[in-house]
Amino acid sequence: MGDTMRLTVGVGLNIRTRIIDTEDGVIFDKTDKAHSFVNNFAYFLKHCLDGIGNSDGRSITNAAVPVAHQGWYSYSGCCGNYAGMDALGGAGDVTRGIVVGSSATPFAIAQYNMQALIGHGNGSGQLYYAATPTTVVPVFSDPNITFLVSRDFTNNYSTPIVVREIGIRGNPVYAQGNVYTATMQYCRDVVPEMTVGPAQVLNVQYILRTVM
Amino acid sequence: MDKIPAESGSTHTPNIGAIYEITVFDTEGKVKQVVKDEAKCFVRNFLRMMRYLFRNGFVLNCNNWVLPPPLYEDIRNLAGAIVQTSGRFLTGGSNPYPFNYAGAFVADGAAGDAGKGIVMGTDATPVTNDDYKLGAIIPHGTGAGQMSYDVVAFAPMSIAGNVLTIPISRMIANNTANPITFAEIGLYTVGGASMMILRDVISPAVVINPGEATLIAYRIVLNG
Repeated sequence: MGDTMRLTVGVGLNIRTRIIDTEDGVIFDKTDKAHSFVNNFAYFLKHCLDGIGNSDGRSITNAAVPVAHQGWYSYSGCCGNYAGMDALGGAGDVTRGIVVGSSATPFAIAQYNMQALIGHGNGSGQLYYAATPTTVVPVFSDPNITFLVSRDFTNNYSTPIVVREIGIRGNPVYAQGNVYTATMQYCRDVVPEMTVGPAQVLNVQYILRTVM
Repeated sequence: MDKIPAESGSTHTPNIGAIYEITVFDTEGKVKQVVKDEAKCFVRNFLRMMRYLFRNGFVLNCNNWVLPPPLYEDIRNLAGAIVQTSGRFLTGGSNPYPFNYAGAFVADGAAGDAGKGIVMGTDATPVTNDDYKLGAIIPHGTGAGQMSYDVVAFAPMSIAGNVLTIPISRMIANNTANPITFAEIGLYTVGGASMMILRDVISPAVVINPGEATLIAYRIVLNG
């Protein structure tokens, strides 16, 4: 099938990573192409289009515990659910929004989790997760139509922490004989190794933008 | 218009792209013409709905209504009006929970429904990402200047390496007495509002003679 056709337009996804030092300001600023979307996102997108969910028998996979579920849920009873990724996390929430990890395992579209999630906190091996978004409000920048999701991660411990992977998670509705929510991974990217020193802040932005 | 996201400083294949393929069948059902190209435009509404999806969650439980206040998006509907949508569509219900919900932007048009799913039109005005409808949609029917829209079909997704494809297609037939030329196609969806998320101009335009039909397929491609 000709889906190997090289595409040049559509929606692009970039990652911008910055490290902010409390004394020296921005000491690292880099933007890269994202690989990002994993199978769960595609299943979700298809559900949004066909309104059926498990229409072709594929399963979504829970990030927290790798259990396959039947599909996204769509309901039309007296009350119900609407499809949303629920990907805006509050401070300390590692189940929603942008998350970071330490594994450099290459991206694969079948992945359903961070390979080595860095937990939230102020202790050893942890980063403090701010809310998503934080200081950067998602905006549309005409005419290119951009929106971004942003999150700050602060190292409040006394030793550096290395970040090699980032991703986006959410808690959408899925169907498994009934209706539940679970943590699902939508995106994962391996980024150049970044060392976040004590008292430094890592800011990560996912930037979606139309490409015409 | 930037060819690539300005922040990147380098070109790359879009993470979400689309391909359209138009197959014209003659009156005997034989393939007469195939047109295939990269789809040129996810329009503004698509990005707005993506933003909606990222920002919002779900509603659950009849007896313990836990509706979070939706973070609405401004969608330009097919009439050109800016409407705030939460991505759900209303299908009735009863008090005190009068709303029913489904997918965020559903394209499952039934036979005869030219307001949802793949649609075609006659306007060759170039695409911009501000487009919110086809320039001149060809309505459903068997009268002059009309085409017969079949149901929208969703084939199973396919995965090849890190590329995942979502196929959508629709058969549209000319059951009138005269040829009909179409020069644009698009994808109409319903989710809180009726909206267009994709539009493409077909050049040269395609002629469908009486008794002929065309299968229009969009394949949304996710590149990992």
